[in-house]
Amino acid sequence: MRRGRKPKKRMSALRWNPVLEEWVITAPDRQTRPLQVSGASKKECLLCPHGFEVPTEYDICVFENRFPSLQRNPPPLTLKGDQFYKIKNGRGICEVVLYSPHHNRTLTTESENQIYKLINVWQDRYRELGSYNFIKYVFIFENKGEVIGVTLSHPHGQIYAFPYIPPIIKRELSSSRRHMARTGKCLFCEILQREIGEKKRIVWKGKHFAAFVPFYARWPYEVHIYSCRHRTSMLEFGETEKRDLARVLKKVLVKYDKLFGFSFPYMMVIHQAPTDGKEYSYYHFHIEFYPPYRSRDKIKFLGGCESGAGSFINDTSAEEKAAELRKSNM
Amino acid sequence: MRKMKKLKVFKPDGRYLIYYYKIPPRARGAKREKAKKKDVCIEMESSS
Repeated sequence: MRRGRKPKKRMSALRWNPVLEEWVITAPDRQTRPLQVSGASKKECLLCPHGFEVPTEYDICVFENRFPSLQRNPPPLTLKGDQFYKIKNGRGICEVVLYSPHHNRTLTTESENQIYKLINVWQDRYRELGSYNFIKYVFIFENKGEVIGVTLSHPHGQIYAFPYIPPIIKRELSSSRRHMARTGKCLFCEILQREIGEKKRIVWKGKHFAAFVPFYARWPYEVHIYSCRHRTSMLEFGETEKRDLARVLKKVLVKYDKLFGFSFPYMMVIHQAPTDGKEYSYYHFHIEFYPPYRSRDKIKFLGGCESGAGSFINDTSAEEKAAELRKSNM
Repeated sequence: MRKMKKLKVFKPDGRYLIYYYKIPPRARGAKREKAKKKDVCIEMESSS
């Protein structure tokens, strides 16, 4: 494909699953997206400065995904839905965030200062994308490693600006709203208090953020980072909080890489308040990491029980895994 | 820390590209792109 050629758009749509009562995104265009992982050199990288996507030098760069799951201006639907099988335009925005101009780095090997700059960029994207009236939720995440299904090796993350609140966020909102109504306390503040009090699952504690393997971890090396102060989104962070978040992120990432001596794959997701204009004072900003490795040479796959019953089986103990991560990099 | 800079440009296919922190030197290709679409340059709040 030549640079700048207008890609032919195919329909991105939302299909309603009446059984699970959730939307499924269908994006047939994504089947043709390029695959460029470990073998790709800096010279042929699509995301490096002066490469296919970015024509100049950059420090941190954001661009609209060429193969979006959700489209800013989707073409008209070609399939007609009804009250039972509902179908909607997949209207939303998908962005790619390039963490660094350096091809061979990862977020882990970036400086704390670069991570701090990235947090500022995340803040800006959350603010801007969340300001559109058709965007209800801004989801910032990173898939790292081929084993997770990453298609481009240059260090990058993604942002999906959804026209609805995704199911897991909905469940978290619902449980934290009920907890607030029942106890008058923030559910997440209470979890954090318990984790700090019990200490055994804490991985790293900064001044404003704490990282821990949650009591109810689903993945062996799952780590959550919570803001110590009650913050609903990153828009409420001050300078010292952003600096501290960069430090805690760096600590966790380095611990991951040192654990088995290789670049540790993970999914990193940021959960924060929806941007649909409603009140979410009971919700709490946090970051979750789901690494697929359960030991140096074994991967946890989502099997029948996880995928078909929605029930996770964790073969490890959160306390032991937190102790391993605490010791990692010492 | 210097101020965070943000430069939004549009690609010929209509997708935007946003540079953060470092305003990139204008490349030959970028100049042509600029003529097609209006660029937006926004100075963000001080980050230190």
